[in-house]
Amino acid sequence: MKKIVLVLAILLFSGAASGWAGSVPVMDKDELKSMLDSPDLVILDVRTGRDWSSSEFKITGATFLDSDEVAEATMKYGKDKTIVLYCA
Amino acid sequence: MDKAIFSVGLVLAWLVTPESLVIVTRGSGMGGLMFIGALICGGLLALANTMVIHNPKLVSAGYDQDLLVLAGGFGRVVALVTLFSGRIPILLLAATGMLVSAGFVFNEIFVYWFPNFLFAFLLLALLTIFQLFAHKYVLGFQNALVLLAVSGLLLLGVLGVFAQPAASQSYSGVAGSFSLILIGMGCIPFLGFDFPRQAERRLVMLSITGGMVLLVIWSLLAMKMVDPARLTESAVAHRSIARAVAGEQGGYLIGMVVICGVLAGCNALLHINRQIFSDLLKAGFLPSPFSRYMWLPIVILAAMIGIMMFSGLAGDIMLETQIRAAVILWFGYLGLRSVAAAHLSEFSSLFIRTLAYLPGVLTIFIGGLLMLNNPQMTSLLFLVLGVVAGALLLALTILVGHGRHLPYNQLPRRKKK
Repeated sequence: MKKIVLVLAILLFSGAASGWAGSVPVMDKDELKSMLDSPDLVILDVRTGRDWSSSEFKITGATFLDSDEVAEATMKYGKDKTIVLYCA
Repeated sequence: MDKAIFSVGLVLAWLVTPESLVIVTRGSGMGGLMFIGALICGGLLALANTMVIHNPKLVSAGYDQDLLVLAGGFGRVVALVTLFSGRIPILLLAATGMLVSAGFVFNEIFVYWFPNFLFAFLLLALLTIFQLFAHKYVLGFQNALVLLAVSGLLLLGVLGVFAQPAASQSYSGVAGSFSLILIGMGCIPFLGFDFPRQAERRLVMLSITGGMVLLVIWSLLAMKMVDPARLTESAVAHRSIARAVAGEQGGYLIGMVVICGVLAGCNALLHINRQIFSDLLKAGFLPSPFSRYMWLPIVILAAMIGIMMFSGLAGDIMLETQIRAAVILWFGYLGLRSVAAAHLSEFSSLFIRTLAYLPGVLTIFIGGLLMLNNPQMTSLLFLVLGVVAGALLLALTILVGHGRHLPYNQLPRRKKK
């Protein structure tokens, strides 16, 4: 019985961790890094809760934005800008 | 080794968590030196409650479990509801938040390339495996974690004596105002004094006093090294303090403190919740075949924490409100347990008997105060009522499902006068 529980526990935790990537398309960090000096790049930090409060790091040049105001902000910056949002 | 020594790790478990450190830095920013007074009030209330809850006469009379004390004082339904609502939500919610915070610390201080959420899940897996397969080592592990966290905080405190604050930092520790809210905040870090079972009362009281001294040192250090506005607003001010004291090494030190504190806090909460089900079984509230499935509550609770982390609850702004609600329920549990213990202790002197009720009543009052003075009072109220309703449902399910077999007469009998 203990072995079964151990296997279940390992499956549960490894599955949860590996499933993290999800299906949302993401920009590679190297790709973003190569664009950091571009004047057309806007980086918006839309982290909330502990994703925001527990972290001391933020991407250089990022602006904090309430996640409820994303639509409004994208209108503000215009379609010619590359808007990158990060939430975790 | 005397088993009583394990109570030290349990008493200080909550006190060394980042949740407590954040309360201390926020309180120091808001109240300045007045917060030291609030911490001392919080420590004294914990000591007074310990005198009542860990009264040796109570244990020798047979009331050696919180479940029995609550049932003896208020009856079975209230005992079960209080126990479920005071113990389970704080485990689920605080552990979710703390494990994620530990993930950020590991990622941002120690190994940049390691995913923070993966680290949080690994910690949860480690704690679950300890609870399931190495339960006899859980309390030793607990003491080691607390020892590491306390040593780190003390070392930073000592280094802080010689450290100079940044030039921009004006020492404004004398500012601030004293308020009841500040006292409430000062009580929160001491909440874990109720964790040990059949503990040696003097050792518990000594641990609380040591914890009080540690937090006072940490609060003074916070006021010396970091701007009050940052202390009040930031949830990671402890990291700023450590770096201001000892630079990069200070960052590593506080990283170790936070990770050990998170592990200690979650380990203690899991241990206490495991005990609830063991107590329910011993007291006859659960059918005896359940003894073969004692691993099940831990697996379910750990899975719930995992699911909540996976669902992104830590990134939800509601988590903080939910944790506050769980802390208020913890105050309620403690207060009722203390009142029940005072009621059952049968002190001979009328004066002492009356006085014994005071810590429990004050604890309930402070819990209520924290709720009524919170800007999100309505949400908190609904959350508290929702949890109590859920706990009532669970209690009634247990009582109705197994009620006929309940050996309620197993409760220790009070002496008739």
